[in-house]
Amino acid sequence: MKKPYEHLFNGVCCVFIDLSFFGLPDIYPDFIGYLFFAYGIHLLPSFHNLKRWSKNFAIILAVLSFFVELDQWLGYKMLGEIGVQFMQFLFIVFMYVVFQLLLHIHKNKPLEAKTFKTYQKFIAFMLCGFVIQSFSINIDASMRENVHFIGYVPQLLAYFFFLFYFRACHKYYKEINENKVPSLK
Amino acid sequence: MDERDYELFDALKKRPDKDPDVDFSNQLRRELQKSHIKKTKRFTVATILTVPVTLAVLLFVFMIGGGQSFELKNAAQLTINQEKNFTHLVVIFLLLALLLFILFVYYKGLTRGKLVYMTFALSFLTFVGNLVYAEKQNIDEPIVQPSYSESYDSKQDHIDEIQQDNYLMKTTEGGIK
Repeated sequence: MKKPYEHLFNGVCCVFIDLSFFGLPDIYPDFIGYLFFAYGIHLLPSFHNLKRWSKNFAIILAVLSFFVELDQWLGYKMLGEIGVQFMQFLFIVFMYVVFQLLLHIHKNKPLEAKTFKTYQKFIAFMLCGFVIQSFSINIDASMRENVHFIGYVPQLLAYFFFLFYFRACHKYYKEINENKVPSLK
Repeated sequence: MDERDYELFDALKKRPDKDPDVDFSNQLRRELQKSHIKKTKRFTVATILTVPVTLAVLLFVFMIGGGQSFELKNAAQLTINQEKNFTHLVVIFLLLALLLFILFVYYKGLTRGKLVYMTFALSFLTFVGNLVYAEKQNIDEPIVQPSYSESYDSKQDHIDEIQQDNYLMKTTEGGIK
């Protein structure tokens, strides 16, 4: 009963959602999300080199994001928004590698088209959001928040696309476990 | 005889399986092939990338030739002087060009190669470029908004200073009296 996609989805949730109430630190910290990613990738049925690389990448990102979060918790703000945005860029690169692995796993399998479409939309929207947000530094303070919000919208869309993909994969895995369809191996 | 000849001739003309006009068909075929090649090669990356560049050059030439920037004051009250207007236009144009490029590359469905690498590299370059620009501009207000605790502390310090000043003033006044 291995469910790698659940772990991958948990990872995406933890990285995306930043909830901090009443001055408490982020309830879903990013580094736990990256650890989920590492475990989910570990469970994926593949022996490709990409699996090893993406797993190592996830662990490196977990360490990096831990320091960025620590910087925010302690209120030093040495890096401020810069560290967060840099981590976001690394996350997009990481998701690109993960999607390469998923595309490799689903080659000539029923979910290939779905994986490919999700890859197209997810990476494109994430990069667009990142570009808009990186421009927001140089915009007047009155407009900055609005530009940030505009940057968040495509990333939210990307999140929902990944959610739909996760639901499809989850269904497929259920059917594999009930021996209705052949497994991905 | 004439009538019969004409009838035969007409029938021959209307026949669907008559020999095709060799020269004409050759020419037609060549044209068709050429147009086919044109159609397949119309949307190359080079043309799509050159179109925005040409538009930008034309826009620039018109702006310089007209000796004025585009009036967007009614649309955006924030743009005050011409220089600011121009930088805003350039920034918006760069942003749109980059977004369109990214969307185009992923719409084409590329998973690897130069173009995918370029999208990542360009977006990272915009990030770094914006940071460098912000550093150069030397904006008076800090880029990083101070956290609540910091602002509270600074406020408290300020209040403490004021109270101390008042106390000192009172004591000095008392001393004078």
